[in-house]
Amino acid sequence: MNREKPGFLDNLAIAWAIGSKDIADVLKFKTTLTNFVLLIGLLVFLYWSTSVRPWDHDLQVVVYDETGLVSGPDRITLDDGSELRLYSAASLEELKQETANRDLGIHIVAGTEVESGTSSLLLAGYVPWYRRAKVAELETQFSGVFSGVLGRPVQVAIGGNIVVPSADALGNAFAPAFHLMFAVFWLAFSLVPHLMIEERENKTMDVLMVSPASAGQVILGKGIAGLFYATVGAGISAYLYWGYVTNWLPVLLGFVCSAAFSIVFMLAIGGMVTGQKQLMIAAQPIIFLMIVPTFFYQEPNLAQWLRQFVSLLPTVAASKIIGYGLADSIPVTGLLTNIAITLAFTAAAYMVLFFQMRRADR
Amino acid sequence: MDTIVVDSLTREFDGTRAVDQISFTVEAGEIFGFLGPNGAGKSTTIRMLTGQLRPTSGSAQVAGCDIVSQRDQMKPQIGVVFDCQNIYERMTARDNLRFAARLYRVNGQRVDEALELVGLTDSAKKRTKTFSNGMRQRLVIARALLHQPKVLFLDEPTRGLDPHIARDIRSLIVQLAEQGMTIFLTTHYMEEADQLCRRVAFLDRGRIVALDTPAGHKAAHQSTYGGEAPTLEDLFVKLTGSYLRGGERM
Repeated sequence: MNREKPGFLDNLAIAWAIGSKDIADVLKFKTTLTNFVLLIGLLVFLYWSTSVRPWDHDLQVVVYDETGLVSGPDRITLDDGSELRLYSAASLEELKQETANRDLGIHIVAGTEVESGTSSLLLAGYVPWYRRAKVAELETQFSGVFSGVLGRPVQVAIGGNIVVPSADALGNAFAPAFHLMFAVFWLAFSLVPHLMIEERENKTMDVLMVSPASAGQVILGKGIAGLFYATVGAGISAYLYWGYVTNWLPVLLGFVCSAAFSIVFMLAIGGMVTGQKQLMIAAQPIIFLMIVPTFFYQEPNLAQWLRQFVSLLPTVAASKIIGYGLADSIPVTGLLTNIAITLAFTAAAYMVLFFQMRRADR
Repeated sequence: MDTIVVDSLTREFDGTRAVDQISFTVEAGEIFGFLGPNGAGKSTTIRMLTGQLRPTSGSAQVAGCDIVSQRDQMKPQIGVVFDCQNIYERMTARDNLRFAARLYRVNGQRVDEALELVGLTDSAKKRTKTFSNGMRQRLVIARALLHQPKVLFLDEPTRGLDPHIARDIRSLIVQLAEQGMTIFLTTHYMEEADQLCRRVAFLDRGRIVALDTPAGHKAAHQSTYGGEAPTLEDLFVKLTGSYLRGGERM
């Protein structure tokens, strides 16, 4: 056996040994495996329930008719059973705003063939930013749809009319940002404390503590396992919402902030609770404080004081950082403020963890 | 040469002394018995000597390393068999040892050697949750020996095992000591201590009340037993645990 004083890489190797053991163990442990599978299922469900799916025949179209000449029903049923729900916009700005959360925006431009009554009609189309990769396909699809509806050849030209929500927009536009943060936080919550509690309950923690592993390496190992699964969860979210991302840098920063806070916070929780029962009791305030606000902070009708309050939560701050990666621009002040919030909470959780380690060493 | 040197080692919990200024030495290759009733301070002493707990005062060296200031250097030189069979149940026997091998930075070949030493080669690929008590105990011993420690701490290694397995484990302990490994043994089986240990310390309420060879202990108390040599069990009952029988509590 090598009895030289271990160096940095040796220390890292020990932490990795613990982490890789836990990564494999998560898949063998019924509780953690169930949590992991449920989360993946939930992510896919959230995506499925908030996105336009290939088999969706209920498409939402916002129409801004500059000419005032085209009037018709608010719902059109096509021959194949598909349904177009038409929403009227009062201005081009409203059209753009609404399109961010719908499937298509149509601008009937004054002075075009619609007024001249000729057989050919050109409509300016707008698509939400998450469908920008499919512009050509949508042009063809909607040209066919509107030709059928209006009974004459229609060309929907989308061109560069892609509607990206502004960074301060409210509503569901940034739901994917929350989903990604939620994946990271939930996986950290459902795996990391379990890994620590189980070591203590089975007394295998004693085995680790008499081995060359230090308390810090054990905790780092658990953190590595948590980070691995948080990355898997974030990776699945990123794959699902690939089309929504306008800038990957804030998404990456948001992931790092979410992962750092979630894992350190959960390590601290894992150090404080003594068993699975206590963890279940602790889960309720954690979910209420950290997860529930991320559901509603984008709600347009939320009281201003409540929005300001929940904006101070690290989970909401991390969601906002990720959300900037889905917006038309990155507000530098907002980005730095939210990074500072998550790092401050991470530092506070680390302090708790640090004192736990010091106390365990006495 | 002394492998374990303990000097006035004390540990207090909330003002109560669990271990009270104990001092002793253990030579290299010696099997040292550390006997006492439940709550006497055996586990606290082992936790201090294995670096899991800091002493309140006093000092100790294990394998030439101070248990506080040189704890990191000491850890690779000790092996510990706990009083519970703390193994990873969802892992196979081989994976349990492979994981330990990574922590101790030992060659993978040692895993097979350790499994062979305790007779678990044929069960190496089985998940340990299917193991019997005896197999589990052999596995925790294999894990403690994997890195060929200088000092082996055994906390009731044969408790609850059938006589065949217990005998095998005792033979292994003797064999290891003959090879020069220092063994620090706690047990509630006085016959086992009598048979294995070169010296035995009786611990009562955190203090060592007697320390000698088994023969020395018996000779010292022979006169009080009408000239007949008492057993270690007789002496254990006499010297320790009066508070357990309704006497003064610690």
